[in-house]
Amino acid sequence: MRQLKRPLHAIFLRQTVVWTALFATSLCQLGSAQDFEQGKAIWAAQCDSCHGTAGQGVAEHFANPLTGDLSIKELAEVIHTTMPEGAAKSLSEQQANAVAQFVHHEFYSPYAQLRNSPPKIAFSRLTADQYRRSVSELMAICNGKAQAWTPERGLQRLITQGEWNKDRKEVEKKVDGKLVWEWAENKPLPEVDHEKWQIRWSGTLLAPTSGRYEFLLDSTINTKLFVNDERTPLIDASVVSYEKSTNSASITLVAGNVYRLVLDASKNKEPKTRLSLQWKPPSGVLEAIPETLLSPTWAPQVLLVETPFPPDDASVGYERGTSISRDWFEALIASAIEVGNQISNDPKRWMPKEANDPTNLEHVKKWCALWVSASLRRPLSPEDTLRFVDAHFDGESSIPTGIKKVCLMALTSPEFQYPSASGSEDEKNIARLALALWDSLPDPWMIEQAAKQQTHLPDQLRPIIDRMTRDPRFEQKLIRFYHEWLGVHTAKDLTKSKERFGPFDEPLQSDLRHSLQRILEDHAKDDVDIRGLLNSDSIYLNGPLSSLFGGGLPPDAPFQKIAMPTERAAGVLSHPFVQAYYAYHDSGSPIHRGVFLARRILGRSLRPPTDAIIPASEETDPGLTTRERVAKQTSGAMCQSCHRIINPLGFAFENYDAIGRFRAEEAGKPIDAAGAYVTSLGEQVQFNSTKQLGDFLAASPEVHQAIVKQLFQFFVKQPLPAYGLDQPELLTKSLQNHGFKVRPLMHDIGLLICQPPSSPQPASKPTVANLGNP
Amino acid sequence: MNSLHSRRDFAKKIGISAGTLPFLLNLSSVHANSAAPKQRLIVVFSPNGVIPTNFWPDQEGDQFDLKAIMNPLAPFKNRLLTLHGVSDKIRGDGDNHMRGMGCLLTGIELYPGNIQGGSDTPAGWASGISIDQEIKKHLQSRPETQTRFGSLEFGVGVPSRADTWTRMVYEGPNRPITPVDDPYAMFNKLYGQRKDQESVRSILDDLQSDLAKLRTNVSQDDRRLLDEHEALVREFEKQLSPNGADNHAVPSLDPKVEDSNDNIPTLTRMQTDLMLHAIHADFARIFTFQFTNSVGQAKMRWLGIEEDHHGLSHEPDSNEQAVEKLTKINTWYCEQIAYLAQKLSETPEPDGNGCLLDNTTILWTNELGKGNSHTLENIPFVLIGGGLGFQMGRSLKFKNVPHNRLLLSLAHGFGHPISQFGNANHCNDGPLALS
Repeated sequence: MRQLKRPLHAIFLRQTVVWTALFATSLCQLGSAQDFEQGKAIWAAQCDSCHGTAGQGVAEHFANPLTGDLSIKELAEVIHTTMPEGAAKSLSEQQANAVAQFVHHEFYSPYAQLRNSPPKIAFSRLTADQYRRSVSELMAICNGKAQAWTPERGLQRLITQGEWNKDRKEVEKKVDGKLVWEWAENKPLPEVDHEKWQIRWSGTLLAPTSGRYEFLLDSTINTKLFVNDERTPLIDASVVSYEKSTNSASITLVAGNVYRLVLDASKNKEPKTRLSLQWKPPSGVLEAIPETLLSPTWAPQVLLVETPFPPDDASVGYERGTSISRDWFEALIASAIEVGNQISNDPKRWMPKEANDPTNLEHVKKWCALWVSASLRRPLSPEDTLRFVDAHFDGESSIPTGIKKVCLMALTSPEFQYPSASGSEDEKNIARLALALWDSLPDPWMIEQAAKQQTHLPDQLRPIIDRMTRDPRFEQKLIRFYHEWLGVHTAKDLTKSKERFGPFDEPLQSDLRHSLQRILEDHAKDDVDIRGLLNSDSIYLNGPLSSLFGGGLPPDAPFQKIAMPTERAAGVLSHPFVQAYYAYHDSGSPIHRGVFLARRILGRSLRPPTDAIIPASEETDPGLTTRERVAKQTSGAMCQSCHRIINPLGFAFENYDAIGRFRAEEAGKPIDAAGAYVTSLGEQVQFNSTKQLGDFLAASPEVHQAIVKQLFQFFVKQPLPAYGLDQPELLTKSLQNHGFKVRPLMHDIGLLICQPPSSPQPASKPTVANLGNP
Repeated sequence: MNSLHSRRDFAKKIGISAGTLPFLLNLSSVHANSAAPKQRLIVVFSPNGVIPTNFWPDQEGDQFDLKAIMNPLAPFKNRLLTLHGVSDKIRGDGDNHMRGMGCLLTGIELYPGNIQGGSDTPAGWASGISIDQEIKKHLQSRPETQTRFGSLEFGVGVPSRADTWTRMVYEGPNRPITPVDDPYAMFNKLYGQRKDQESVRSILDDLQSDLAKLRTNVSQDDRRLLDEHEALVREFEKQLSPNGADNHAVPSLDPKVEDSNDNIPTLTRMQTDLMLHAIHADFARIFTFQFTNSVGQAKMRWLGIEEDHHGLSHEPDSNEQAVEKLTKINTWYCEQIAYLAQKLSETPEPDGNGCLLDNTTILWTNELGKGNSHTLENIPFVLIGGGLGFQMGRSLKFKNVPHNRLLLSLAHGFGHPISQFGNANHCNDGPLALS
C-alpha cells in the first residue's frame, strides 16, 4: 500500500539523516550542474521580472517571496502546469524541472531560506507566564516551602461531631475527592447526629491551565472555601440564604502549579443538607473538580499575581518576550506593587519564623536579601545588598514601604526581566535551564552550584538537567507542550448541533477534555515512547463517554484506560476531542483536519488561502458526502497548490463525525477514508485506515523533526536553527536514537542552549555544483 | 484628560475593570467633568433604637424645639428635617434587629437562612440591593457623575464577623458589602496608590542605571529592546510627576491607634476626617458610616457609662438611670454627626459655589425605633444638609408610612425617578413628599 516512488532530487532535502541513506541509490538520478545552469538562465529570462532575481517578489506583479516546502518534483509540476502566467505549459517538463532545481536550491526550500537569512537567538524578556511562575517560585524559595504533588488522588475528608471548641470529636477520616453531596437524613454518616456535625475536605489542587478559575459553591449549610490562602476564604458562605444558596468567586491560577484547597462545612439546625463545589476552568465548562487534579497532601500558600498582562507575541508559533510595550511596562509596575502589597500587608504570613517580628529590621532585611538574590538568580555582592535592600530601609520609610520598594526594584530589575543577559557563564546557564525546563527560576541548589562554577561543562550540566527533568514542573510543562502541539490549548467552544448530537452536552465535552488530559499525562511520564501519541489504540473513557464512543462500559463506570478497535486508532490524533475540535458545528472538517496534520504534525508550511472562502454547506449540494463537497469546492488550480496536500490528509479522518465519533457511512453512502501524502522527499504514501495513517506518521522522519522543532521552540522560546542550521537534524537523530523518549532529548537540548553559538554556523551541506560532478 | 482616556482604554483592552487597578487608573485624577452641582449622600447608622421622648420634636412644621439627643444639631436647625412616623414594614424571616438592619436600606425581605436571632425564624442575607448602592450605580453610569469609587463604606467598631446584624449595605441580593472600619485600611484604599507612586519614583533611577549597565553586555541589535525599555521608564516618570489638581494634600493619620472599644471616639474622628477628605477630593458621592452594628455593644466609658449599649437598651422605660444613659449615648452619636455637618459647612465646594453641606445630605438612622420594645415603627430618620431639593428646617410627622417611600425619595432627589424600590407592595403611594 505504501508505494515508494523514488525521488528524483533527494539531494535538496532537509533531512540529512534521510539523505545519507538515500545518497548511494539516488546519485545516478541527480540533477546535473547543467540542469541547474539551464534553470538559472530560464529564470533570468522568463521569471525574474515578476518574482525578482532572488524570488523576493516584485511589488506590481507577484509581491510575496517565493518560498515553500514542496519537493522539487512537485514544484516542477506546479511550474509546468501554471507558469509563466498566461503561457502555462510553454516550458517543457525538463525545463520546468531545471527551473525547479534552481529555485529550490537558491531560495525556495526551507533550507535555502534558513541559509539565506539564518535566524539568530533573540534577546528576550520573561514572558508574562514566566513572570507569574517566577514570582510564585520566589516565595517558595524564600520561605523554604517547596511545592509538592504526590501520586495519591482525592482530598483528606474529616467528619467530626459536637460543638466547635467544646466537645467536638473525630468520627471519620478518609481520602475522598467527591465534592458534590446531597445527604439523605441530613447527615453524612449513620453514626452522627442530625445536628452539630462538621465536614472538612483539605488538600491540594493542580491547575491544568493558566487563567481565571471560577468556583461555584452551592451549600445549604455554613460553608467556607479556601483556595491558596488558608486564612481568608475565597467564598464565605457561613450565612446561608436558602433561596439563594449559590456563591461564586474567581481566582487566577497558573497551569501546572499546585494550590492549597480547603472546604469547611458545618451543620447546625439547617433543614436541608446539600453541598456542592464545582468550578469553571478557563475555556472550560462548569463541572465537578476532577479527582485527578486533587491530592490529599498539604501545599504552601503561593504568591499570586492577579494583575493582567497584555498577551505576549505568539506570531511565530510560540510565546516569546522579544518586544515590550507601554501596556507591558505599566502592568509590570502594577504587578510589582501588587506583590509588594501582599507581602508588606501581612509579613507574618510570608516571612519565615525568624523574620516573624516585622519590627526586627535586621531579619526583615535578611529575608529581603534572600528574595533579591533568588530573583537575580545569583548571590548578592555587598554593593547589591546596599542598593537593592539597605537603601530602602533608611530612616524615612516604614518597614512595609521598604519591603514594597525591595519588591518593586527586584521585580522590575533588568537582571530579573532579561535572564541570562549578564553574569558569568555558570549563572547564565542555570538561568537558561530554569527557563527552558521550568519556565521559572533556578532553585537555591542550582545557584550554589553556579557560584562554585560547577555549571559550565557538559559533565557538570548533565546531572543538573537530569534532576530538573524529574521535577513535576518539567512534567507539567511537557503536558502543556502536548496541548500546544495538538493546537487544542486555545479556548474553543466545542458545542455542536443539538439536533444531531444531543447527548454531546457540556458535561460530556468536559469529560472528553479530561480523557485527553489523562492520555497526555501518561505520555509525559518517564521513559515513554512518544510515538504512542500517533499510533496507540489506548483511550480513557468513563460510562457517559463510552455510551457515545464505544468501549462497552456501564453508565456509571469511572475513567479507565481501554483499547479501541485497532484499525480506528491513531493515538491522540483520532481522539474524539481532537477530531471534534477540528470540525464544524454539524459536520467533520477534512480541511481543518488536513491543515492540522500538515502544519502541526508534519511541520509543512501552508499559505493562507488567497481569498476568504466560506465553506460550502450541505444544502448547496444535497446528496454529496463531506468528502465530495470539499473536493468539489477546492478543485480550482489556485486552491490545489495547497489543497493537494491538505485534502488527502484530512480525508483520512472521514470516519470521524463532528463530535469525533466513528462512523461507517454518511448520508447512506459508505465512508471513503482513503488518504494520501507526498513526503517532502517526494515519496508517495497512501493509507486506507486511521491505523495506517498513524503508523505512517509514527515512523515519519518529517513528523519526528516537526515535533523536535516545536518541542524545542516551546521549551526554549527561540528558533531552533539559530543554534545551528544542522540542529533540527541532529536533535531529531537524538530523539530517534533514544527510543523516542523526551527526557534524553531534553539533555541534548539543555546542553545545546548552555553553549549557544555566537553566530549560527551553516551546516556543512553539499552544493549542487560539487555533487553534480561526482 | 488624554492620558486618562488612554489608560482607561488600556485597562479595557486587557480586560480589567476600574477598581482592580486603581494604581494604573489613578496616575492622573478621575474628576467628573460637570458644571451641575454635585449631589452627595452620607448615611450614618447608630444602633439599638433611641429614647423617643428625648429624640423627636413634639411640634410639627417649621417651628419646633430640639430635644436633648438632637440638641447638638441646633446650629443646623434650619437645614434639618426630622421624619417621624416612617416605619420599616418589612416582615418575614429574622428577628427585628436583623430585619431592622438588613431591610433598612434595602426595603426588602431577608432570605430564609441559617442565622438564628434572639426570636423569630432564622434568616440569611437581604434579598435586594440597598438604596445607597442603587444611587451609586445610577451616578456611576453617567460620565458627568462618575467618581473614582462611586461609594465608600466607612465603619467604626464593627465586629469582625459577617452576619445579618453587621451588614447594612448590599450591592445586590445576597451580596453584602463589608464596611471598612480600620482608618489605616481606608487610608490605603484612598491614598495607597499615591504612596505607591512615591515608591515607584524612588526606584526609577536605579532601574535606568541597571538598564544602562545591561546595555554594555548585549549586542548592537539587542540594544533596541533596551532602548525602548529606557524610553518607557522615562515616559512613565513623567506621568508620575505632580500635575496640580489631583495632588491635594494627603491627610496625615495619628500613628497606630488600636482598634478597640475605648478608642471609638478617636477612630470616629479619624474616619470622619478621611471621609471629609474623600468628599473634598470627589473620590465618591455616596457614603455610609456605620457605628458598630445592629445590637451594637459599645461601652461608652468615655461618657462614664460602663454597661454595653445593647444591654442598656433592653432596660424598661421605668429605669431612669438607663434612660439617662441611653440619652447620653445617643447624644454622643449626634455630636459626631454635628461635627461632620460643621466641617461640611465650613468647607467651600472646590468649584467655589457654596459649602460642601449645601450639596450633601446626611441621613442619620437606626435599625429600631425604640430599644426595649424592638419596634420597627418610627425608625429614626433625620436629614441634615441640602442638595436633594428637600425643604429643610422642618419637623414632619407621618402616619406610619413604609420607609420604602423615603428610599424612593432619596433616589428621586438624585434624579433617578424609580417607581419601586425593595418590596413593591410598600411603594404604592410613591416617594414621600419632602420638597
